[in-house]
Amino acid sequence: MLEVEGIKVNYNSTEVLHGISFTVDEGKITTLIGANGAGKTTTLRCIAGILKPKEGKIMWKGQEISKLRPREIVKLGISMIPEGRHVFPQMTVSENLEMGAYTRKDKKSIKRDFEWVLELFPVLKVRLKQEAGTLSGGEQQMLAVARSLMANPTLVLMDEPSMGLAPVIVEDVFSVIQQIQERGKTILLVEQNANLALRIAHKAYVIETGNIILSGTGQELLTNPEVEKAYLGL
Amino acid sequence: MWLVPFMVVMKGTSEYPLLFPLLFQWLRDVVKLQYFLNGLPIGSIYALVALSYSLIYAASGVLNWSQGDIVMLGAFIGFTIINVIKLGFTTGLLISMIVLALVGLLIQIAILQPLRNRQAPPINVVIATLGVAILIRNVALVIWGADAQNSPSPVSTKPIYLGSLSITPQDILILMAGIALMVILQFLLKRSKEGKALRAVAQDRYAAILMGIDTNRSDGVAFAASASLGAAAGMLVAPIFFVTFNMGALIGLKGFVAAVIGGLGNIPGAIAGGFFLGIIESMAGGQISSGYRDAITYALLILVLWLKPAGLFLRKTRQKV
Repeated sequence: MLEVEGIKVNYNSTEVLHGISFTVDEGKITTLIGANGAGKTTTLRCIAGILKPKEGKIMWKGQEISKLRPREIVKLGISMIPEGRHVFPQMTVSENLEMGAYTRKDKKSIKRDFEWVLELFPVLKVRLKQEAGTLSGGEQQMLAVARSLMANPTLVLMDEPSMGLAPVIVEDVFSVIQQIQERGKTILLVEQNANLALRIAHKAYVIETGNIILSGTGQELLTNPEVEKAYLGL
Repeated sequence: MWLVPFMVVMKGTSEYPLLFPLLFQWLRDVVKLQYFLNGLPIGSIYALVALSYSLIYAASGVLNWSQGDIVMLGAFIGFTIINVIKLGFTTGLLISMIVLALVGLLIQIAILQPLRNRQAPPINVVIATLGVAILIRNVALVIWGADAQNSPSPVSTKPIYLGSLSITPQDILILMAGIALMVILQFLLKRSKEGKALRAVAQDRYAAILMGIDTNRSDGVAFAASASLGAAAGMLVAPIFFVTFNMGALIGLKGFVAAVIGGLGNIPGAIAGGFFLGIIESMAGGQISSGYRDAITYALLILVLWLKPAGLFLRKTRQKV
């Protein structure tokens, strides 16, 4: 569904991605794991249109999207949840959700998705009129996920959803990710918490200093001795 | 009674450490109250100019030094419409606001957007706005000449007496018009789609881009709204001061001080800062000497930047992990 073909990216004239290729299958969870600075976030930013690769192609349902603006990519059904949540702190939960649907016009279907995400995240329902900045970290992460779903995406890009959250909350977040996938969304998950990510992923890639060095199913990588040593800390 | 509309505007700032109760405490005798009252209309003008700075700063991180000259241009355009084309004050105000909104949009599209797109350093953007200021000032000089123009007041300047206090209908008009514009701005920011997008960009530009918000568009909206507010400030200040091609420097600087007092980029803070500055100036002028009025303003700027660079009305930041 999404095919990334040999993308190379420069940050201030330093090449940080040296030709990365991978595919994301419809309705599945795909994960990119790797250490800090390996290029995971850069990859997501390229797909979301924030960064432009200097070489390579990003194909979405057969269409080349690497030259498009973020707004056009959102409209095509790809929505990104940034690392560190980035909710709009002085807007209410309800306004945050509204912003998620910014590019959409059809009020009726927006309303339907609004009800849907509130059903998915009952914790947000009781806090609709509260400013997002007053929510706990876990609640903010839920809001960030809910907000991205308001764009009615086919593919959700998630950048480090476990970042800075207590372990109990992280479990919640990951069960939510699975629920979203079960409800028909395709997910590309970038995580430093390799253990958790591999457990829920159908397909996984290991990225190291701008290259993909390993790939396989989540289970395969979970039991791969190299991965165990480098990323699972066993 | 006259405090009621004032308090409505201040409502948004009620969660800030309040300076105003302190001020009210101080207003025990009638003379002080009179100076306080005199400070309100000019305060509302400062508040409008402060808002025009803060709106752009919050939305796009640009400090727009042409704001004062936009005020001047707004005053001249309105003045010309009223005196030469002989339309009423309200029509003049509205046309001036619309024309200046287009000017603001033009500044954003023609000058700032290209600079931003090639990721120019912030200092270049600031200098570009300074260039715009000089351009506007000299265009005004060519069109309207160097002579000061006296704009006739739309309403009477004969004071009304309330007990031993007095206020002119002109002051009431300025205050009311200023407050009405602030209420409209707040309403648009809270309710309209463009307004919400503007707030989103101001609060988190990166996330706003991910939502599919066009930041060039929101910057354009900010510049248009801000220039429009500046034009209104110019129209309202015109009956108090002479309209001259170089009036922008002073009013722009005063508005900037008010914006800094309220915390640059803080919208309710800009309103509070404007009124605060207007009242302080009037009080200082009356109680000390009117010769020191401007000196006190700039001393205040230095003090605020030195002691409380985020503004006196800093919002309590509540962050949880």
